[in-house]
Amino acid sequence: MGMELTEKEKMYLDDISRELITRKAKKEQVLFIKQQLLEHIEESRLHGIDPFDDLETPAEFVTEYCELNEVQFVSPQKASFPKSYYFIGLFSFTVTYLLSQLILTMCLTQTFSPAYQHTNFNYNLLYSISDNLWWNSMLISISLISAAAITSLTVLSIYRKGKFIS
Amino acid sequence: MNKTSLLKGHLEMCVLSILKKHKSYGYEIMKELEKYDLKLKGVSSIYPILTKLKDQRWVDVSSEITDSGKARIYYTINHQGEKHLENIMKEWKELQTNIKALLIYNEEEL
Repeated sequence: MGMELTEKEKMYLDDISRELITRKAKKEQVLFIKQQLLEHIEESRLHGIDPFDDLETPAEFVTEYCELNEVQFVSPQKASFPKSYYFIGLFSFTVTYLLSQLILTMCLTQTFSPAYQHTNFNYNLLYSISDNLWWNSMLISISLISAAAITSLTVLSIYRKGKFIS
Repeated sequence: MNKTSLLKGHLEMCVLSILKKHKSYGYEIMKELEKYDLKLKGVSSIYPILTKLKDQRWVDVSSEITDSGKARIYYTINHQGEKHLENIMKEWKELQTNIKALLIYNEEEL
């Protein structure tokens, strides 16, 4: 609206924005509410009334606003992660771990070498890719860390993309 | 339940009723309510209701330039809104009659 705001009004609008952000309101909702508040401030001035005569505290304002407009801003404590993301995470973790184990077997062990012969060693992609105990532990750790990192990145990017789309 | 909470439940009907008389804007509607001693807790009640009325397509929204050169958002009740107002007023009157009957009956019992 391009009007000059007093420090008190600016602070009030900032507090409202902060309160809305903690309740996970979308950016456009924050802007819309701020626009309505600016309208109120401007109208109050035109009528020679202090805008704060009709304004609640920022927390009260947001609570009342949500209640009346049936807006479902997510409370940070109650924010739930969609169930589908757990399945995506599990799938991503399993695939990454197995791929990592396979790559490490091929690149860093002699297990798949035709010349390699060790009768006591039973290869298992999940937990035994080398006959050397400490080396096997090290490779499993690398696979676990890689799987955890890639899973986190995948789920986070899908979550952010989902939030952006909604 | 205090008066403000009671009013909240009927705010939609009151605002539509004001708009049935003439088109208006947020601040003016709030002050019109106050004329009838229907004081809201603050502005957080009036704007969400206007947003809801707009989203439900019970009112038409237009922007007009005032004498001071400011763009003001006006709300005008439309046909759908008038029908809705009729329905909720009918429901409200029925409910009021029922509650009144219950209160009078129980008062007589005392």
